[in-house]
Amino acid sequence: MRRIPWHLPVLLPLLTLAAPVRAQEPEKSEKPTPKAESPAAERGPGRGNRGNRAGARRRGGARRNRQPVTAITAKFVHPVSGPVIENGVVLVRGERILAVGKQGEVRIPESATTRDFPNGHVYPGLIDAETDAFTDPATQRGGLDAGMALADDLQLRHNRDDSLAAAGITVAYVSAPAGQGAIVRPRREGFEVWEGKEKAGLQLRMTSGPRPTHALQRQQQLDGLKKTFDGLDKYEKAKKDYNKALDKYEKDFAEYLAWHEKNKGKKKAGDGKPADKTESAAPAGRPAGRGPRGRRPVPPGDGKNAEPLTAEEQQTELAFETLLEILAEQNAQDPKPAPPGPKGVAQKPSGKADGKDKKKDGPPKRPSYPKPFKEDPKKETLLAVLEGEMPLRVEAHRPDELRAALHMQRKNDVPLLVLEQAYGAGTVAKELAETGATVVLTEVLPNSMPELYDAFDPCTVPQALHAAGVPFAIATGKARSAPLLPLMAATAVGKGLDAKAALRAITLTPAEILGIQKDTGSLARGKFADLIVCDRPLFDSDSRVLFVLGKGRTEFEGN
Amino acid sequence: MRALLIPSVLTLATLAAAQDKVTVYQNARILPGGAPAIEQGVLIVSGGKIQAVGGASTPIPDGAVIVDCTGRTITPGLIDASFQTTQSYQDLNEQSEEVTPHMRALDCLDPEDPAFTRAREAGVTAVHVMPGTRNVISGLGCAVKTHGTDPASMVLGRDVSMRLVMGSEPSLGNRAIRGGRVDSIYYRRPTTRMGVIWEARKAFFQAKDENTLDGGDPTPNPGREILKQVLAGKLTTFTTARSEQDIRTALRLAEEFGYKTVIDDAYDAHYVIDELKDADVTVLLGAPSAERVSGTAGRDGADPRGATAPLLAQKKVPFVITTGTNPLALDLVREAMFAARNGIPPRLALDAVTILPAQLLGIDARVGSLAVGKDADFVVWSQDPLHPATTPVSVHINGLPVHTASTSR
Amino acid sequence: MLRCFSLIALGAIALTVPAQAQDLLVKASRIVLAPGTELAPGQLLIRAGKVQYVGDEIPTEARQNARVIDYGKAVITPGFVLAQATLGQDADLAEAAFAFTPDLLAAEAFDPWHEDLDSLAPQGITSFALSPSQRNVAGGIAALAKPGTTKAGDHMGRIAERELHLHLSLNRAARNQQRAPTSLIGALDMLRTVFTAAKSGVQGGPDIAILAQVLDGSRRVFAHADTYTELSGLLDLARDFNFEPVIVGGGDAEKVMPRITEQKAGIVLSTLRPEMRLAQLRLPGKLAAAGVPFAFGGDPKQLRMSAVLAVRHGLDKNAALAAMTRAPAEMLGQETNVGALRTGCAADFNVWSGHPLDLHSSHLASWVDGQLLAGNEPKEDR
Repeated sequence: MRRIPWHLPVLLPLLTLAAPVRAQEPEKSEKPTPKAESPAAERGPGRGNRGNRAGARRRGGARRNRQPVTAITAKFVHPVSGPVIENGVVLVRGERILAVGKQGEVRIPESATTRDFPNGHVYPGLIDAETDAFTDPATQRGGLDAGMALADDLQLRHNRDDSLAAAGITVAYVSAPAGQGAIVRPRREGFEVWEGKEKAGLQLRMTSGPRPTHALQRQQQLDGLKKTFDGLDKYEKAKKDYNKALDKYEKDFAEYLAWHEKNKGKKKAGDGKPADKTESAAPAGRPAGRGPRGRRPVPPGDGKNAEPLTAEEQQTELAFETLLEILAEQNAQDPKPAPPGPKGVAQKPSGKADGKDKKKDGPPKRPSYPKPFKEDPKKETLLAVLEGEMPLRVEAHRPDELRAALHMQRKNDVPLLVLEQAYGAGTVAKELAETGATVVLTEVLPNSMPELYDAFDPCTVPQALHAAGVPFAIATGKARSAPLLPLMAATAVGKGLDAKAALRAITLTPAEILGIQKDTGSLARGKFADLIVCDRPLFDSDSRVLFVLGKGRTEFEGN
Repeated sequence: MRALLIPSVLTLATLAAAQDKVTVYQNARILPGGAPAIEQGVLIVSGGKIQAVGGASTPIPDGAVIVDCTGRTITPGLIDASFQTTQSYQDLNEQSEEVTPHMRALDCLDPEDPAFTRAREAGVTAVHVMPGTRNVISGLGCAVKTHGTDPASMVLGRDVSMRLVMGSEPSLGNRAIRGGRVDSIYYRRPTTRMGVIWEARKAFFQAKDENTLDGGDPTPNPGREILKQVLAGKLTTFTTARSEQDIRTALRLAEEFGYKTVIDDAYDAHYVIDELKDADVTVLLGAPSAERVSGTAGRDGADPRGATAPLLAQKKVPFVITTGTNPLALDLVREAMFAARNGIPPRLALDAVTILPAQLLGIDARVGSLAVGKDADFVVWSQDPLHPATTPVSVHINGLPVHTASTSR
Repeated sequence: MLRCFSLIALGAIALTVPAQAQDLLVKASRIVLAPGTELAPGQLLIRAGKVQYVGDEIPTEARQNARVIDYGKAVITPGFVLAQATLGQDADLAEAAFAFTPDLLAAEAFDPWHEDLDSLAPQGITSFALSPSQRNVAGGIAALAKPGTTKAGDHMGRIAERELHLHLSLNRAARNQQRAPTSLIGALDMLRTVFTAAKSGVQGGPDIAILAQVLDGSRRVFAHADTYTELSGLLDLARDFNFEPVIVGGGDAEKVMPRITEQKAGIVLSTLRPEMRLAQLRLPGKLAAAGVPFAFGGDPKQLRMSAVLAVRHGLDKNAALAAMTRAPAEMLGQETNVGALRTGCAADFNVWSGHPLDLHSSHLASWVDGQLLAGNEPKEDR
């Protein structure tokens, strides 16, 4: 996807709807600063969300002082990243945590609003590393392909009673049997997608589920799945070749144009019109117009965040010019000097003309456009996985399925592997520790397994993984089970897991697995103010969520 | 006739005002049911009863809540004399026997049934629910209001009818024994139309024989008791008969045993109009909007026609408009509209869904028309109820609004 | 001669009792005798499978022969009672030919070696009502059964009480069995007819005799009913024939709550599952608030989880514990026998590392009739 200018289809609506788009932008960005955002929106059309976020960050310093501070005091503060603080306080400014500490030791500014929970327990916002919230049953039945992103189809569905936010879940990874999952922030009403994490993992289902299957039959199926990454080399090579050819074409074309430029004077004066066209087509022609920079393959990993803004803008403008050019040419209806289109057919006549030219004047041969390369979103995603841009998340239940996933990881050098569900992971814990895979466990509740999975007890798996040093998260898997997330961790404790590790498995570890530990997962200065307050220890069955902050916004308030 | 107000009731109304809030609906066009329209009418309601109906000159008690209904039309709450709840098939068809006269539909009534909600939203305030159509004699029907906290609070008439079903439906689930294992109760008679009639006739014969015997069978048979009541003329039979053939059979059976009957879902009534006239039976016209192709209208080879209603009116065969068993039936008021469109007088069309069914079911002392002392079950329509764009602005049962247009949106 | 006999009998007891089961003295830091009544710390003296003494200190002469089992910091609660179960024996508990068989005994179908019995003690269930299947309108008489072991240590259940309540069903399952009745009105009519006959004093067979016992109040009635119409039909019947039913299932119970309280009906809830509607998960809390006696039932493997879910959705922890112990015992009329740790009750108890309704506390052991059925005895060094 990186090669084809996404601006083109986007641009026209953007231009025609410039005003409404601007009006929407502050909504997408952080809420408390609509005023600060507006200049950014005025900078120019065609600015994506990315630009906004960068802008907001830059101005963060200036804005900080104006934001109100909230102090949350409680009997116990459980920062996860450190020891429990008795009579603790969490200072929140805007959307981030300012300080965490003991009451009396942390200076609470006078202007701060204080929320006091004399018997409360403060925890970081819970992170559900796998949920089906905001998707529909059709999505959950699978049939997606790796190129499809769940983020494109998320919506609030009211057929589920339980709101994730009310259950204290401030961040969740939305998963499906296939496609690319997204990280979302469940909100009081609806949700928002975590910016830059719209494609947060590639889902792969390597299990036949709790159905009676023969081991060999499963093996056959798994062998098929292991071939998922096959043929990528060829694809990558074809892509490289194409890029090279494109570079060459650009160079040749520039030469060709230069020659014509030189010989323009020799042509008839009345012929200026087509000549003009050709000239303007040079910098702005569809492939050439993007400029060498925009066309260069973006290094994986920083494609989203590191690329300078100006390049984006340039691209946009150039693309816009291209569009105008194309429109103008269509109006002129002059086929001869048509800019090199992507289709081979279009070139043939002009190629013949070139041949004639060459015979007469010996100009450089008009270069032909390289054979277009068919980009495949599915393969692009697989490449992104291999480059470590997003983890591969494999749903596997039985030990043989888990081993097959590990085998695939080794064979293809998948940098980030997350094993979902993994009910049978207890017996392969050592292997998991060796390969560096991480695990997202679901169904950690007493007697939750169907009859066919009697041999597995997901409740004891956390303990086994913990002992082997495999990072694991405990997740609900189902939106309906959202209020039970702490109980799942509690069940693991009942089966011998250390309580601290259990708390980590629904806060910091999932943040690490999702790659957002810098921003959330524990109560620490500088992280997003994602926290919940309970009236009793989180793992007690009768513990109630009193208060939920997500990114500094109140997402739930009990009575 | 313009002013139905009786002076003595005025004192009653004022007395009641002290106890209950009096609500006055004024400036409405009132179609009281069974009586001419009242322009600029006034309807006074308190204590869940109608205190006064009359023209603009009707005295309005002090302190009353005034509801201005300019441009609106008020009718009695509609009554559907053959109504299906959503429970019908699974809970209301006792198929282990063909003849179950003592089964009560009332035993299986859910006040929260969505069918009642839909009925209320369409201005229907009372309905007649009968057991299902999968038996020859399926049991006792009840007349209930469409709103209430429990079945007891909804009842208008506990046992108002006994249903008898003609045609193919009662034998639909049965199978003929052709050797092999008989592992189900459904291997039995009747499997034909003849068998259905035979079952009905057998039941009536037994009841009749007993009637003549002294003492009769010592073991109590509740079903037979019901049949005896039918034969004694104390209970009306609702015979579901759709095709011409079935209607004729229904009339013949009634004549043979001398019981009172009503023909339910009489789609083919236009073929047997003279017989119906001679037998002096009331016809329940199920879903007159339905054509042969839709729903169950064409079942048993019946041939429903739009012209049936005007024909019945012309021949002065008493009839009532219902939604019947056709799942594609429209709202009751729309069915009345169709009948009117096909040529019956609008007032008759409206009466056929209000006072006439009430009289048929014997509940006209409480509902069916807007008259002093009756239950305050009425509908305020946005315009003439037979106008195709009409919609109930508010529906009241016992004076209380059970549906208002604003809440439904 | 008499004395001689009694001496022999005494001698026999004296010989057999110590050989069969030694007295046990069970200690723990907390013993919940019944929800709301606790000893901390506490001791139980168990003799011949029954609770002999409870208290913080047992008289010396009573405990001198007892083997001491000290569970240290653990919590002991009464064993869970499951108020309705068919335990994989459903086929044996439903007479397929007739829907009305009130005089059949579920106890007759009890298989003491059924493998599902083994799964009860690990879930903390120490007794249950083996009930006729819900596929019959009047299935028969339920029995109180318990898991247990033989002397050799094999699992073998037993019937503790042969005749409990009459088990009825108005569920769909009772009406789609290819025989009468096929509808709810048919099922209700079936019951009404027979109750009327029993009320009129007709000399009938054993089935009428059972119903006569219901009418005179000497036999309780459990009845499966879930939807509004089923519940309201059952309550109508109960009102007309003046009995106080225990509703099994009760999915729509909220809609008939006033009538349930008025007619003093109880409810045995079916399994609560996380994917249920919130209204269903909150029902136990509402029943507790309305004072309706209720017990958790359904799938034995999900009994504790059902209670935890109810607690999660607003039920008090103690009320939830009561709904697994005292409440079902009372519904079954067995409160002097099971569901509590009073003197004379069966020594059925569970040992937990914390509150049984917190999932972070683990189930350490289950004892039935003074025998360890699941989990471990504490280590000697405690």
